[in-house]
Amino acid sequence: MMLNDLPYPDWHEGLTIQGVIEHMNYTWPKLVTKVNGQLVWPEDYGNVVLQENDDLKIHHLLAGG
Amino acid sequence: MALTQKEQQRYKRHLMLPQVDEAGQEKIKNSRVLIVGAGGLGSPVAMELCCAGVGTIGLVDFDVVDVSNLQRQLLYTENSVGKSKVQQAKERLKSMNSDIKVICIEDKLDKSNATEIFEKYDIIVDATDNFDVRYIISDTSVKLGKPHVYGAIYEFYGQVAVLGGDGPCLRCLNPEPPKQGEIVEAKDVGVFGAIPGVIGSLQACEVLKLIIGAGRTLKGRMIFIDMLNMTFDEVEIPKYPKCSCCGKGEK
Repeated sequence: MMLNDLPYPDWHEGLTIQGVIEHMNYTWPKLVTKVNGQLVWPEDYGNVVLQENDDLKIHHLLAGG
Repeated sequence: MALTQKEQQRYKRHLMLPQVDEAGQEKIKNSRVLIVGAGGLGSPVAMELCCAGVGTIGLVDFDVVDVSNLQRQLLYTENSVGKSKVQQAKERLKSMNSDIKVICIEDKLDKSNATEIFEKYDIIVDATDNFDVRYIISDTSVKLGKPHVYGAIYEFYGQVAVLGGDGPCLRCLNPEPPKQGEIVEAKDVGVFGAIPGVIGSLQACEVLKLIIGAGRTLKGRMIFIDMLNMTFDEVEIPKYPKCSCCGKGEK
């Protein structure tokens, strides 16, 4: 599995987006996440199970101007 | 309103583009664009739209120019420090293009005044520095059916999207703004000087494309730019069926 264009070494069966966020200790409160190019809504982070070949991108939603 | 001979000369390089031509330049001249925030992002957006000949530019900001703004806020000079941002911006923009109208709204945008302010404009540019106002801009743009050109920056990173109108809104990406204290305030975060120029120019580009109806805009898409590593990414934003603002709000 890829996370932000780098191999993610801790993929395992049943891993969810929420699992990655917690494992990576992402603390930014507003994220924009996509799996294989498709947006995943925040309420689904705990439901989307990642496959070994998935491409996960996690971006911060920014507000500075 | 048709172009004058002077305007035909001034915008000659626009008129040479088949995507713009005289009809497009007339649309630009007759357009009214509101920029919320006259800081890092608002500066390049306002300057680009001013040069392009947008007929009416509204600027919302309650702040005064601080010396630490000069590192990235292109509208201002050393003489601007301590003075009203919108008044200084108007002076600068009018010196760049005296034919356009600049309307200063020296106030904080909030839920009570957003609708009244937005009603007078065709397109709303989000150049603010906090989530609370961004959600007000998004909600009001959806309510009035106006495009909301989103731009945001942080350190070396930036993002741009076209939301609002009949497309998805900010709540489709994330239903609620962060709670108080959950996020660092913009004033406490570093910003690489050239970042707002890049993101603000992209916002201006989207505004002009929306006005003339050219090309593929970022409607329903967000692009992410990492300028430290110079990488780009994008995501399509589908309308969220449960969105409390632009969807059906289903639980």
